[in-house]
Order: sequence, then C-alpha cells, then structure tokens
Amino acid sequence: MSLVSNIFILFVALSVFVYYIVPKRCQWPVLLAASYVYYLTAGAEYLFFILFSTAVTYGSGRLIEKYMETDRKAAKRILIAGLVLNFAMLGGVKYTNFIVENINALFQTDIPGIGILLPLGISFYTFQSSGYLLDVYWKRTEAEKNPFRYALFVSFFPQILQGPIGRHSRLAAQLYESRTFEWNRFARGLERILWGFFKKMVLADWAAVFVDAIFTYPDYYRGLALFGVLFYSVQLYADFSGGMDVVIGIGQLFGITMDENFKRPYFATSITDFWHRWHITLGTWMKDYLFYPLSLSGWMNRFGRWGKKHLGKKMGRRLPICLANLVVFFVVGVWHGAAWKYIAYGIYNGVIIAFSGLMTDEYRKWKKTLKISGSERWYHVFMIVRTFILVNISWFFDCSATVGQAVRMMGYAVTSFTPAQLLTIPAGREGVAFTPYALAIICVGCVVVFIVSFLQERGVKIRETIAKQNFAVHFIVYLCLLLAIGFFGSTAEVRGFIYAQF
Amino acid sequence: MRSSKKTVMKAAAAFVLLAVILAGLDFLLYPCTFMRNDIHSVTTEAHDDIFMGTSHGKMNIDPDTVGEITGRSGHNLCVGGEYGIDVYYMAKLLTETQKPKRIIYEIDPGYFVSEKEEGNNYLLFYHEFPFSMAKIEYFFDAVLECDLRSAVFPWYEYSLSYEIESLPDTVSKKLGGDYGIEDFKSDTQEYHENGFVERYPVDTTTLPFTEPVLFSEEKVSAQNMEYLERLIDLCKEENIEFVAVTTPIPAVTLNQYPEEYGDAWDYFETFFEEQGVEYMNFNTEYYDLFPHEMINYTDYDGHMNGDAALRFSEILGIMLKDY
Repeated sequence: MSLVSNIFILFVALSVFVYYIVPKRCQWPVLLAASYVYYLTAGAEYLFFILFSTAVTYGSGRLIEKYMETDRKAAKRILIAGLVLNFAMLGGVKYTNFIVENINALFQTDIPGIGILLPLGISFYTFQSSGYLLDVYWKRTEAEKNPFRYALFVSFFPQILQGPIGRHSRLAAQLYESRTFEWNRFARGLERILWGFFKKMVLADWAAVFVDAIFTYPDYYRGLALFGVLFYSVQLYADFSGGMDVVIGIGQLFGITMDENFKRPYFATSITDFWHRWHITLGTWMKDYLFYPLSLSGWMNRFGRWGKKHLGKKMGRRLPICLANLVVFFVVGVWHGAAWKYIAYGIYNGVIIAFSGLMTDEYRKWKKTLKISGSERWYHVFMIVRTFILVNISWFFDCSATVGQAVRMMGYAVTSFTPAQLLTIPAGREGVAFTPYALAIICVGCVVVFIVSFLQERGVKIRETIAKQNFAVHFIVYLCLLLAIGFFGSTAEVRGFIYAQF
Repeated sequence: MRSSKKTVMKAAAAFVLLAVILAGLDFLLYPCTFMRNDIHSVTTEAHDDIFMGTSHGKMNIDPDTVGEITGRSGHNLCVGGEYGIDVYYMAKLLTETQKPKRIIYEIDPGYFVSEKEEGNNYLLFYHEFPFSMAKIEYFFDAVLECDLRSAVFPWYEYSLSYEIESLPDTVSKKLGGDYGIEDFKSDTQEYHENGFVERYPVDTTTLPFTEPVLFSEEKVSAQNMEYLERLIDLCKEENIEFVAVTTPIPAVTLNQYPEEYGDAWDYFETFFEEQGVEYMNFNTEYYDLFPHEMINYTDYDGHMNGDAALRFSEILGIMLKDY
C-alpha cells in the first residue's frame, strides 16, 4: 500500500474516523488493528518477522526489568540475547545474499542465496525495538507490561515504512493516550501531509526522471554527471523529507507527535552538523546506542591511554572518538543496504568526521592566520557550500549502482560538462518536448522549498503563522498546495519512496 | 459546543467548495478522448457485436465492414493499453446498459505477459464510465491502488500537454454533449464513429524493425488470465456469445520469433478449448486467408493500414458469420 495511493488515503481516513468514534479505551487497539492491517497488505509472509521482533524484544524487556535489581549479569545476558536475536533476523534477511555473493566471488564457490524480499520496514522496527531494549536496560524507560500495547509501539503504521525511528519514552505514552478530535491539530496534520506530497510528487519525482537517466547511462550522459548528483540531492531530500512530512502529518491526525527527522540539512555547516539535521532519528539512535557506549567502553579507554602515551595528550583524547565515529558510520552505511557502495558511503562520512575531529586545532590556527572569527556571513555561506559539496560527493556512492560507477561519475563531474544534453532526456509521458517544462518545475520547486527552509532557518515559524490566520487563508493555502500537485506533479512513472526500500 | 458546530460547518463548506473546484477542473481539463465517444456509443446505442482488445483490434477491425457480411451492428471498443481488467469491467458496464449479443475479444499474446501500468491507463476507460455498479467495482478493483492523483486530478497526466486553446472546444463539446470525431484525425490516422481507427499507408521499406513483447508461458500474468476467465464466465452468465480472435501478424515478425509465437498460439488454443470458446487465430489455421506481407501493415507489430484492415474485416465477417 503505497503512501501516495488512493487506497492509503482511504485507509488513513477510515482509521482516523474509527479512532475518534470508538470509546476512548478502544483507541489504541484501533491503531494496533490498523497497523497490522497495513502490514498485512504488504504480504502475510512478512508478518512472522515483525511478530518475531515484537515477541523477542517484549519478552526480553520484561525479563531484563525482572532481573535488573536482583541479578544484573542475568539482565545483561538477556539484553545481549535479545539484541542478537533481533539483529540476527535483520542480518539474515538483509545481508545473507550480500555475504554469499562476496564469498562466491572470493572463493569461486556457488553457494545459493536466499529467495526472500526484504520485509516492509524491517530496518526501522528492528532499530526501534532494539533501542527499547537498551532503554529498559539503562532504565530510561519502563518495560511495557501489555504485549499488545508493545506491539503497537513496534508496528505503528505511519512510521513503519520509513521511520522516524521512535523512542519508547516519547512515543509509547502518546500511542496509548486517549484523545478527542481537535480541528486545529487535524488541520495542521493535513497541511503537513499536503506539503509532503508536494515535495514528493512535484520535486522528487520530476528530479528522479533526470537522475534515473543519468545514473542508468553514466557513460552516455557523462557530461551531466554534475547535474545528475545535484538532481539526486534534490530527489533524495524531497522524497525522504516529503515522506516524513506525510508520516508525521498522519501522526498528527491521530494526535500523535512523532520525532522530527529533518532540520533543513542543506543548511548544515559541516558533515557533523549535516548528520544532526538529516535522518535525525537514525543519527541520534547511533549516537545514543552505539557511539556513546563504544567511546565510553573500557577497551576504548585503554586505546585512549595508549594514544596519549604514544601520540600526545590531545591526540590520545581524540583518537577513541574518531574510531567510534568510523565504526558508527560504517554501521550507518551497512544499515542503508547490503552493498559495498553503501559501506563506502558510510566510511566516507565517517572519515570526514574523524578527520575533522583530528584537525580541529589546525583549523583553529588557519582561521586565526586568515583572521576569520567564524561569525562572518561569507564564512557561514562558505561552510554551507563546502558541506553541500561534500554531501554531494557522498551521494555519488548512494545513487550509483557500484563503487566503481560512483568513482567514474565523480571523474566525469569534473572533466565533462554538456548541460545541453539535459534537453535530450524525455520528461514523463510527453517525452523531450516537455523537458524544459520539467526542468522549470524543478527550479521553481527548489526555490519554493529553499525560501521556506531559509525562513525557518531564520526562526520564522511559518506553520504557526499560517495557523493564526483565519479559515479562508487556511483553505487557500491547502488549495494552492493541492492544485500545485495536480498541475505540476510528475507525469512520469509513479514511484515509491526511496527510503521504503531500507 | 457552538464553536465546534461552527468549525464543522466551515469544514463541510470547505469540503463542498473543494469538491466543486475539483469537479470544475476535471470538466475543463480532462480532454475529450475517443474513448469518451466509444463508451458513449456502446452505453447509449444497442450493438449486436462489440469488439474488444488492443490496438491491433482498433486498427485492424472495422465493425461496419464486418457488419455488412454478418448483418449485425457493431462497435470497436479496442484500444492500446486495454488489458483484461479493463475489458472485464467494460463488459460489465455493457451488461448494465446495452447488452450486446456477442463480444469478440482480440487476443494479443504480449498483453498476457506484461503488467498494466498504473494511472492514466485505467483512467482512459474509468473516467468515461457513466455512474454504475461497474464503475464502482472498477474503482475498488483497479483505481484504488493507483496514485492519489488519479482520483483527485484525473487530468493530471494531460496537464503538461493540454493545449489551452482547445479549452473552449472541450467545454462546448462537454456542455453540448457533442461527440464529433473531427478532432481525432491526424496525419497518420483517422478515427471513425464505429470506433475503428484507420491508419494511412506508410512506406514499409523504411520502417524500423520493432521488437514485439514476446510471449513465454512462464511469464504469463495470473491476473491477466484471471480477468480473461472472469470475462468468459460473465458472458456465459449473461448469455452473451464470446469469440476470441488474433489478428494477422506480418510474416517477417512471425518468422523472426517462431518459437515465442508458436508457444503463444499453443497456449491460447489449449486455454480456449478448455473454456469451450471459439478461437480464430489468423496466424495458424487461418493463416492463408490473409496475406501477411509488410505492404499491408504500418509497422512490424501488426497494425494494418486502412485498406488492409477493411479486407481483413471482410474475412473476419465471413468467419464470424459462418463459424
């Protein structure tokens, strides 16, 4: 059930209607039922995976809480067992074929892979439920007593497809709370959904037409490699953040506030800053459940002491952090998919962040020499542009079919430039005749999103401002967004959301 | 309480206004396609024979020529992109409106090994359906899975190519219930009132070879076959005769892929035999009734020129009369 399909819209409308008309104590069971109906439409064969993850983490959570005070070692063993089982399931279905392919290639063997499609949302719910287990172990949240309530936390349908990865401490209580219908909250949810559809259908899907052509035929369109990656940066942002707007908007219809996953990432001034603004819930998950435990672990302390002894005090302090960053971004890469290109994507980000950490003092010296205080406007813009370029380099890995293609396209981006070739790419069903039109839509769409993001970056609360206006203004805003989707939406092939495949 | 009542009233008013705006845009921007004429004709006039199927049927079968031989009236409801699901719901619509005596279904094997695209391909038919049970069922069976714009903005795929100067013409046609066909004539083809599209002859010596969608039994779509079976069952229930036809394909194309075409003919012959349905294949037992030389066609896929289509329609008429 695609998020942009009629059936999904009807499904959401029906779920919201039932949610508000049933007695309040039945509201969360309605959400649970809706979530499982949604999940079942993706295929009954995938039900096992979400049930397994739910059962394992629910049971482990209860046992951890039980043994926490009396036998901490037993609690730790249960935690490890729960995490291993949960991640083994993810690893089994997501990475087995990748590992088998590489073994076959390396040892000239012919081991068969497994014929299974990736279950819907498995990367998201595995991380969410694993985070819950760790939170219970660290006493950041209480173990959920009711298995059905816990099942809702794992399967809540708007977020299961592409996140955000929720935290039990923030999300669970909201899911179980009873509510009455509030028009203002509902209207703001609708507004957010429309904004998401606008980004997806007008920007992402048109940009995808050019991305597909350029990245499918990289040698033929070598002069467009630079445009290819720029279009991909538009597509990926509009697609993923648009999807998040739809998901968070649907949450609002039910009165549930989900964690934000984006904060104007292309205004980031460093790669570290970028990861604080892009896929925020994955970044914070990695920070809380991997980076901190890793960088504060005993053997990392020993590594730090070794560094201090042999490389100096500062370096010794920074090395463990750099190593932890490398590990975290390796995992981020692996999380994105079972392919070397994703691992390269993760390592690339990790290396930049680690290198920046090691070079902090040098940067400070350079800035002092060049008399840059850091508060100059031009320097801020320079940092944004520099980060945008670094991010775009990473997109080559993300979008290309292989690491080799990514490297080749990076080469093309700086050695070959034939922008006129853009006009030879057929845009939608109308072919090349409408390519200039599609390009104009992308440009105007980018300007609209840029202005909105710029104002938000400057602290202007656009949605709050709209919310204060009268009903007629609301209606006009919604109508304009809706009609923009109809008039300017892509007429090319209907596409799903990119992050739904993770 | 009073304030919430006011909010509900405002929301209802906004909803109604939105519905009116969307309906108005649909009226203005959804062009008058020849499918509008076809559906209008088959739902308002009684026809004995309805021809359904793909572009091969549209361009190769002239119902009037067939009718001259059979003595029966007919309309051609075929079109490129018409899959089993569309045919089934159009047949259901026909049973609700002007029940025909016979449905002649043109079988293109390529359509049974490919999936129907979402979106406008359903809208081409669905949009023209008058309000009916068939329309509601068609919506829940097909359009429901489509992109939300198919329901909110059925015109969205025309938005770029829509010529603003044709807007007054569209409005006057829709307002006046005008089903004129003069707009459906181009440099290459001409639409006739009976649904037949006459293609003008082309220089076949310069035609590029185009690879058809090749049949293989492993690739047969279960959904496409399911709708074919449902269509046959519907005809049996409604006491409508059902005949399957495969129009002649150029010899050069048949010779290029003898195995794939051979498999297709075997598959459908077996299938229709099991279903107890008459299947006329002009590429096997009736091969010699029509010349398969390229001179009769406008492409290697098997779309005939107008003259050849009339000759073939005559032959088809004889076969339909005599079988």
